[in-house]
Amino acid sequence: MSFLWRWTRRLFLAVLLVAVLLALPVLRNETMCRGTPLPQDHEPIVSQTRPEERTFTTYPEWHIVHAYEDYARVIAKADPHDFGYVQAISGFWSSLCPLTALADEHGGFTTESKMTLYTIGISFSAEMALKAAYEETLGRVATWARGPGHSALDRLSAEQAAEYAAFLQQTPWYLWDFRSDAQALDAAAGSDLRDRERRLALGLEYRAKAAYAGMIAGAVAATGQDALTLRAVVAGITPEALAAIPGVKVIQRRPEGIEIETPRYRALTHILERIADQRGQMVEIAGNDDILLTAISPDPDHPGAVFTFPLQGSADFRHLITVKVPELSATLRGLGDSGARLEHIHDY
Amino acid sequence: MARLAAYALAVALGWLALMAGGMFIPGAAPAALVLLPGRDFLTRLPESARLVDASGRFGVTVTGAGARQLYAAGAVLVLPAGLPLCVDPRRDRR
Repeated sequence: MSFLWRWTRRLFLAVLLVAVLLALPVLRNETMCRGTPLPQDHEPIVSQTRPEERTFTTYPEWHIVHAYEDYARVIAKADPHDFGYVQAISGFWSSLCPLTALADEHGGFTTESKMTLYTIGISFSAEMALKAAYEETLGRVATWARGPGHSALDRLSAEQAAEYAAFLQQTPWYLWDFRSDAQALDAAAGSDLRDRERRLALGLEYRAKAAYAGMIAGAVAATGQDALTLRAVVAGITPEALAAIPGVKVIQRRPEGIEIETPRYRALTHILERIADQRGQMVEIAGNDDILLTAISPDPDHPGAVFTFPLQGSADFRHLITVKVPELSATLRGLGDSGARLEHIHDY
Repeated sequence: MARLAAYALAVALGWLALMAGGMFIPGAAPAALVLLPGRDFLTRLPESARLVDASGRFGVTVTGAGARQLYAAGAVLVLPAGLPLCVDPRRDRR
């Protein structure tokens, strides 16, 4: 009985310690990363507006997507223990700090959006901590037994990681078919130790994620979804040229420019690039005059970047850049001159 | 091996504790995922609550009720659900 009590007490203390460690970045963000609301000088032209702070609060979710891209890149050439799990976690919370201050300056957070960020941040940190603990110990030992070359399941899991990272660019994680991945591992596993270890470890991870994803998917489907389009005003381009861009719907002419309706999410980045290429100039997007974009370049510095960090498995850097919406098109056209390439424009 | 399993269990339980604890903050999430609800859970829900999904094997999704009310109705664990995402949620499964 005393043995059971001793271990229960130890487990309770360990859970408490983990909970405190996972909550510390939240505490830091709440106390040390706050901004002062700025007076908003832009009067929206369109009536269908979206909160400006969301351009800053959508990035952290993308940080997780980018971490999976980094992971896929690393394990394509090396092993999972070569991935910087702590770097991925610290990148999330470090980028959230300036973005929180910016969001405070541009309207502030809703409780729901703050809770979303903290929920995904804590969940991502816990997942990375679990993966790190396994891959740095048993996973590493299995690679010693395997030798320098990748096994069949090393190659397959690297392909799966790359496909998953590409999938996340367009689709929520819980829609990925983790069970198919687990079955593919079962089907392709050889008899060597590394393949048996990968099949067991990744199979367990995939099946656990499949079970959780199933519950999340039902809940999200039932609680509805956000608007899928937004309104913007563009100048310096004809309505015909705008209408020729796939996804763009011309609504009306206004004194300030042409009001259009466009899809949100990834498609918006491509549309804004097309408008910039055709010398169009954004006047406002969803009633806002500030927007966040990410760009990749080989330089550790970029003008206007509020946060920069190195990618893993690559020599490049990711820059988080804020621009005034009327300067967006010129900024996009100028990225190439500075050796950078656009990655994503974060809508509201 | 036992130490690794204990560490993994502590991380998983610590994560669950934080997720469940956050649900006590008003307006934390648009819905609640109630894991392992009791047999009479639905009959004990407050009038303001609405069942929005019951397709899961281990839980149901409810809106319009706080964590305190859900535990009082017999929930074993209440987690956040329906949080807004930043990628297009329309795609079908692979």
